[in-house]
This record gives sequence, structure tokens and C-alpha cells, in this order.
Amino acid sequence: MIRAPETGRPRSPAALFGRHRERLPAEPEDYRGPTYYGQPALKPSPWTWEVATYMFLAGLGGSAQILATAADLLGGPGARSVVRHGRYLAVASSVLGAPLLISDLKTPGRWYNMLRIFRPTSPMSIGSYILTTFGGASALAAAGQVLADRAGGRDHSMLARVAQIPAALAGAGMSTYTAALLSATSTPLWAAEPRLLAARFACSAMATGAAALSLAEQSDGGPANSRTLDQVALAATAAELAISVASDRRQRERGVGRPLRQGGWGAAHMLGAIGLGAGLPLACYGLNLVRRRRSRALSVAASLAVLAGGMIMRHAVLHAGQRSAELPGEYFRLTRSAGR
Amino acid sequence: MTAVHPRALEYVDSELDGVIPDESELTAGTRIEPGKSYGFFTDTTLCIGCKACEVACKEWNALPADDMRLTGMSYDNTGGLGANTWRHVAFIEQISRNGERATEMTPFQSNWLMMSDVCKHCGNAPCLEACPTGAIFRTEFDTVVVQQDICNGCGYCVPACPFSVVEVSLIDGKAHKCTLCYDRMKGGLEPACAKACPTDSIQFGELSDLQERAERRVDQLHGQGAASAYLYGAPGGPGATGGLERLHAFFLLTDEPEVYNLPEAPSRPANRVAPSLASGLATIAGLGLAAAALLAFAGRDER
Amino acid sequence: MEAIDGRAPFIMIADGRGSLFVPSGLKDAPLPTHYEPVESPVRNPFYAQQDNPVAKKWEREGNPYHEVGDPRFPHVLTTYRLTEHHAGATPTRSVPHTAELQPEGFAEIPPELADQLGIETLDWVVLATARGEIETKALVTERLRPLEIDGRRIYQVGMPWHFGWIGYATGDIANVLTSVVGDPNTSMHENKALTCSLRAGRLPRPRRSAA
Repeated sequence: MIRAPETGRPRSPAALFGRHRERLPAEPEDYRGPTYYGQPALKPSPWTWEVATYMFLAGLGGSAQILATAADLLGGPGARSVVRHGRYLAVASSVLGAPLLISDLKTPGRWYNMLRIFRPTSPMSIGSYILTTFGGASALAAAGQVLADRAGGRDHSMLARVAQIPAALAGAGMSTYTAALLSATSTPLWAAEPRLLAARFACSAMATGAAALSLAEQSDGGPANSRTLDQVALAATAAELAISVASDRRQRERGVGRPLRQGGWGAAHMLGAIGLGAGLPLACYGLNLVRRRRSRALSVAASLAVLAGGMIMRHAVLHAGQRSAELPGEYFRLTRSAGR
Repeated sequence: MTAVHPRALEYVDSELDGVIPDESELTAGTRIEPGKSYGFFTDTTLCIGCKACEVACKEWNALPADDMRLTGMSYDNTGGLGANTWRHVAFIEQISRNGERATEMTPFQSNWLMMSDVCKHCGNAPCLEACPTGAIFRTEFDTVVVQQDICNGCGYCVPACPFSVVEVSLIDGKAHKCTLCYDRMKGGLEPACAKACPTDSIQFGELSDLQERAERRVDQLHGQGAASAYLYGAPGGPGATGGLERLHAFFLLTDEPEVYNLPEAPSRPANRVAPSLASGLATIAGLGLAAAALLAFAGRDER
Repeated sequence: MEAIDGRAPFIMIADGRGSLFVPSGLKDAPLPTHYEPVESPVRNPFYAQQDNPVAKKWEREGNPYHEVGDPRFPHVLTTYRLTEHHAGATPTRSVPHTAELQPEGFAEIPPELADQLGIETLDWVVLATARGEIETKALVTERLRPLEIDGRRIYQVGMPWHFGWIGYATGDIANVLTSVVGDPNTSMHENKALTCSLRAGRLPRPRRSAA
């Protein structure tokens, strides 16, 4: 039997190693020096959607706990529902998040070894303890909240009031340590601008926490609370947008971050994280500010958009980062000494 | 006068003097004792690309073969280091320079570079600093090893490594890399790759000895006209930058590091922890204060 | 008889030394001269005698030789060894640790010839000699320099001869291409000086390997 010659087979050695990767077009600041047959000079982290989803939940829950605590200490009587929603959201995020992390481990049966030592140089070690503290304290705060709810809602639960302080402090950690986790690696996209990445994650955490609470208030609570929470989300989203723009510019100058600007994840980031996560909510919040009567629909739409955008942003940063580790040019741009 | 391992003293002197090797001959004249720092000096100008190091390592550690596929990367069909490959010989053909094809191979393989890559066993090892379970630790020989009975496959060491060395195996779900033959060293033997290397391109020994030897070799090469020879991974030099201190497995190279797939100036990832946390916490604090203010004002409006 | 000193390497000769003038013992003595291999793309530039007149030839079916400068086989073909495999390589191709070092057969081709024929590294190519054809993968390398002989440019193609179809590392068999010609004294076969043709593509036969 005569067969036609094969066509379209991979030519480059890089393409041979299993994965069929999209080609990203070159940019002016790109690396033009030597590489080893275009082979990756780093290995990407072996993490999957579970870690990205956990990062989203951690930020959301951590900030929700902070907002709940602030509402408990400073808010008026109308803000009790915010307190209640926040405490339940916080514990839910840790109850959902921890199994996701355990499932991502390649030997999940040994998950408890994360608490075997404390290593201050490792954000994963620091984070394991932050998660444990946050989970435990949030559980106590939520338990206290349940007791208060059972008792008729007017009693402020002492248990919850005490537990919420360490929970909120740990919640601040939950909102930010995941960025330190990404930056304390050699992956170019994550290591290039650690401060901006951390600020961005913090803003996203606060925005998603406030948006989730605002949604909860719209359905079961007070629309007045929703207004306040929308203001918080507006501030956080605006700050996040500014930081994203600054970060993008810095990365372009340094010749890194192409996978977040181009290709599939670049599109997801632009449309999902920037457009859906910042542009649409800011427009909705802005409209609601100038209207005489607040629109419930705009508030709900903005909250959903912030949540979707936050989720997409975490996934885009994770996957684009893994892709950047496989581009030798990105890494060598960062590691060549000045003048080469 | 070669040093004698303490175990050798337990045995009666051989009647066939010099025929049965002294213990120290098994370790290339190095005495292996806990508490000292050991490593590799890989002189790529001596490498003949035989890959005996790759095979010896795989045989000693019972590692499975990787992909069985021609890569087209000269004679390098291994590609790079990974969970199942702890020694990797790189081949770079440089027959043409400036568009001119060489008609004679200049000495010290400047036209066909061969380099046996390995885990660098960094002084401030990023994989060790990243490991949250403590599976990765520093041995009594100052080398970096992953304890297989503790690792839970979190994979954090993988992106931390600036040299693309350690990898989580999909076969057993744990991280693997060169152990500098920790088991052999405990038994008074030099690592398998150094033992197998026929040209002594891979030299094993105490770090201070190796450093001295390497510096002398660089001077010698410069004297013989190989001006591009330099050390990669020596303290203060390329490869040992950014807080990594020094690479216990360091190299003598004759071309830019990127040609061998090495970064010129890698950095210690742990240096980024504090700035990142500070920035993030400051941002949360700022936003938290703003939120607190908004909630307080809203509360006041209510009353 | 005096023992041969350690610096005389020709251990099969009484005094351990090789000679240019050999009065007896060799069929093509007493002085060496240049002969072209039995298969050559060019005429012998020194003498009218093209190749060794006392070379052992087996002119029979299945072992055809071709005329000098046959245009069907314009390139020089040589076979050689790789470090990673040993001879027929049945042991080294069957052991994963050595097989993965050179997992597939290939032919090394100079870039000028590869450009002419539109061949890139890892493309399938067909090598043919007067005895037969095989298919193998191409490795384009500058280590093979074109030869300029008598005003003509002649390309060299090189191929490791270790491969076969049993084991982890596989490839078509180079010895399909070689000719049976023997050295007049040792009968050592002349399988490192051949001529061949080269083209991109594969042979029309059932596939043995997946890729």
C-alpha cells in the first residue's frame, strides 16, 4: 500500500516535547541573544485550576472576614447582615479552598506534612499556617455567629467577637500571600514585578470580597449596605485597574509577560480580567453613583462581573505564568546583566 | 601521599601493594567526611560527550528512561534535566563562526561544545527555601537532597529552581533530583557520574580544593590561548548571583551561559518574599482603612 | 628474539614497526599508492588504474557495482559509529538507558545539500545505493563539509550503522546499502566509502514505527 508523504509534522525540537504550543509573535523588547535550541530554561509549576481557584477563594474569603470585622466594630445596626454574611463567606472559602489545595498535591495523602515545619523563606509554608489560622478562627467566628443567630440575632456573640480579630488579621494574609507564593519563584511573569503583583492580588481580593457581600446584601439584607460595599468594590477595582496598567507597562519595558498580553491567555486576561473584571463594573458603579435612584440590576451586574473577572484574572496569571517559564527569551531577558 | 579512609585502616595491609586500591583511590583522592562541603567541578573543555555520566547516574539510581525520540538537537536526545534524568549532556555545534566554517577544530572543543549539566546544589538553594514540608534538606556533606518519604508533591520547588533542575515525577508524585549520590558518599565512594567520567571532566571533591583547581585550570587555559574560558557558579561570578552565594556544582564554560541554557545572573527567589508581603499587606491595610471609613460613615448616617 | 619494545605498535609484525616499502606479505605491495574506492563519484586523479586491481570482488546478483561517476549516485556515503551504541547494537538498543541516548537512526547531511533538496532536521529521507534503498531521519549538520574535487562539488552523507528494528532504539539498517568488496589482504569490507543518492520522503512500505 502506497501512502502519501506526511505533511505538517512538527519541525522544531521544542514542539517535539509533547505539547503543541501556540506561537507568540515577537515584540520590540524581546530577547535576541542565544538560547539552547529554543528549549525552556525553567520548569513551570505543576499546578492546575485548583490552585488558581483557591487563590480566588482565599482572597475573597480573607477580605470578606476583614469587611465583616470592620462592620462589626464600626458599622451601624443595619450592618449586622454584612457581619453575618462575611463570617459565613470566610469559613466557606476555607472549607472549599483547603480540599482544592490538597487535591492539587501529587501525593495528597501526605497533606499534613505542610505543618511539619515552619519555613519563613517559603510563602507556601507561611501560607499553610495562615490558612490554618484563618480557617480555625473563621470557623470559631462562624460558630459564634450561628449561636447569635439562634439566640435571636440581637445578642452579639462574644466568641465571634474575639475570634474575628485573628481571623481578620489572617484574612489580610489570605488576601496577599498567594502573590508572594507566585513571586518567590523563578517564573518570569511572576518574579518580574513582585510588589505590583501583590498589590494587584490585594485589590482583587478586596474587590471580590466586597462584591460577594454586596450580592448577598441585595438578596438577603439591606440595599443600603450594598451601596457601601459597592463603594468599597469601586475603590478596590479602580486601584486594581491602575496597578494592572502600571504592571503591564513595566513588563513591556523589561521584555517579559508576553503570554499575558498575547495568545489565548492574553485574550482571556484582556477580555475577562480587564474588560469584565474592571471596565464593566466601573461603568456600572459609576452609573449608579450619578443616578438619582440606585439600580439594583447595575449593582448585581457589577458584582457578578467583579467576581468573574477576579476568577479569570487568577487563572490567566497562573497559566500565562506557566507559559512564561517555558519561553527561554523571557527568562534570559530578566537574567542577562545590564548591557548584554 | 593519598589520604586513607578510616575504614581502610580496619584491614590488614595488602601483600600486593598498589594492586588492591586504597580506599581513597575510590574517591579520587578525596576524603569524604561529614561536616565538610563537597561538590562537583565540571570542566567542559575535557568533556568528550560520551554520556557515561548519564548512564552511570541512571544505573546507580535505577531511574527509568525518558522519551525515546530523536530531538534533532545535535547528539543531545535527552533535552534537559528532570525527575528521571539527573545528569544531562548538552551538545552545541559551532562549526561556523561569523559565517565562516572552521576548517580546523581549535583545541578545547570550541567548535562542538559539550557540557554535562547537573543539579547545582546551590549555597542558598531556592528549592530548599521553597519546600514547605522540609523534605528538601542540607546533608552533612553540604549537599541538597529531597527526602522521598516526606515530599507530598506540592511542586513548589519546581518553579523556584532557577536552573530547571528539580521536577515532580508523574510516576510516583514526588520531587526528584540529583542527590550528589548521598548514599554513595555515606559509604565512602565518590558519586557515580564522577567515577564513570573517563576524562575527569567531572571532578568530585571538597569545595575549597575544587575551587583552587578550577582557578588554576582557567589560568592555564588562558595561557594556552583559550581566552573565553571562565567559571560559572564560583562565588561572585556568573551563575552565583542574586543571593545564591555559590553553586556547589560549578562549571568551566567557554561560551555565554545562555548557549548552555543557563542564566547569567539568576536570583534567589526568597529575596522576593518580604517585598511582596509588605506591598500586599500595605495595600490591604489601605483598602481596609477605606472600607472601615465607608462603613463607619454609613453607620453614622443610619443613626 | 628480542622482545618488541612498548613503543612499537604493529604487534602482528616481527619488529613491531610498519613500513612504507613492504617487500613481501602483501598482495598490493611493495609501495602504497592511491586507489579510489570501488564505488566512486570521480576518476582517480593520479593514475589510469581507478581502483585496487587485486581487491576482492563478488560480482553476482544482489551485489551490483556501478560505473565510476554514475549520475544516479552522486554523493559520497560513509558509515560510522556512535559512542552510545556498540557495533550491531542489539544490546545497547535493548537497554533503555543506552537506547534513549540515541533512540532513532539518522543520516547526517551537510546544510548545502539539505537546502538544495528541501530537507530539514528530522525529516524523513531515502538513501539509495546500487544495492538497495532505506529510509531514515535527517540530521542537518555543518560537521560534514562539501568536498571540492577536480572542479566539482561533491557532498558527503554520513550514517551510523547501529540500527535495526528490534529493541527500544530502532531505525533502518545501513548495511542494506553497503557493497561486498574485500581488502585484498584482510578481506575487510569497504563499507565506509560508498556512493549514494539522497531524496526527501519515505519508502512506500508498511510502517513499522509510529512516528
